[in-house]
Amino acid sequence: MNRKGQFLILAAILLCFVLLGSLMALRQPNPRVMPRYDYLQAAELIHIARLAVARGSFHRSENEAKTYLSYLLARLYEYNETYKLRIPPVSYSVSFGNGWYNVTYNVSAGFHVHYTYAYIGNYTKQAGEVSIVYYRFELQYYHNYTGPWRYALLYPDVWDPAGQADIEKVADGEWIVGVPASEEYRLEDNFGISLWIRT
Amino acid sequence: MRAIEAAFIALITVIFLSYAFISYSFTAPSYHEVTAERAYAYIVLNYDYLDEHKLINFTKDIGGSFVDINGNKYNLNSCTNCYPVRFLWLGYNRTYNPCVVVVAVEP
Repeated sequence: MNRKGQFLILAAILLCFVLLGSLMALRQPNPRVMPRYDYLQAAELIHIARLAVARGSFHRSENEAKTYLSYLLARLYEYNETYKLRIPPVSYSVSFGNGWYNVTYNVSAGFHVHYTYAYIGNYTKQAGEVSIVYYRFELQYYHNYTGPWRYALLYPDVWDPAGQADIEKVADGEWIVGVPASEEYRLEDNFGISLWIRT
Repeated sequence: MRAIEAAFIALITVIFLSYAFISYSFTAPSYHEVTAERAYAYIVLNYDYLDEHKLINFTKDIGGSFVDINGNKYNLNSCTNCYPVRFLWLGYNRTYNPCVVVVAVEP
């Protein structure tokens, strides 16, 4: 039986594979670049900045926020070693002002909290036999996260740890709050960041 | 003669299978891992407190295979060619309470 044809086909197929292999080897390299520092790494940095701001704003202390952020960064780098989270070495600045908190890293990541409020009137509430004067404010509140995604706004929920304020959400980031008339009143967002309302 | 023919067929089969395996295993689109990481970045940004159910449901939705939260492993799907995405929450609401999450995601 003549098997020359079969061998020819097999040889041709083999040649095709060899040619394909050669082409692959000769092809220009196609690097699969994976960014070392991307959204997740920036999000981790912002997450700890938010924790630090929560503590600093509660104590109304920029230094407290700096100290806590330094502590959290040290812990984050420990985990970074173990789990290869690709967190780059960073430096940062923390600044607090009237109605804003800001943390900026030197690696395209930052966290800014902003709130403004305007007095719009007052009312009284009856608590047993005592009537309490409440001041009503229009509150605007948002977080701004900057990172490789450029920026993202978040409108966290606001609540009153003391349970005395009247809080009504009007729109994203807009609230009508009624707080007992006092020198200052503290509200909090769902990340634990304090908003100080000076009445 | 038949032996040579068989050897040729075997050689071609081996070359084909190797090529197919390499093509399948190592040429997944490079941006899969980055995309999955970006999805979890959204979770880290939006939530301070780790809600395990939310994280598990989210991982299910994006086709993840398992979730490991501080060593507690939840198997969601079988996984043949998955890669891990690691991230952590260091705390919530002014408290330090680290929670390490490892998620396996398939391309």
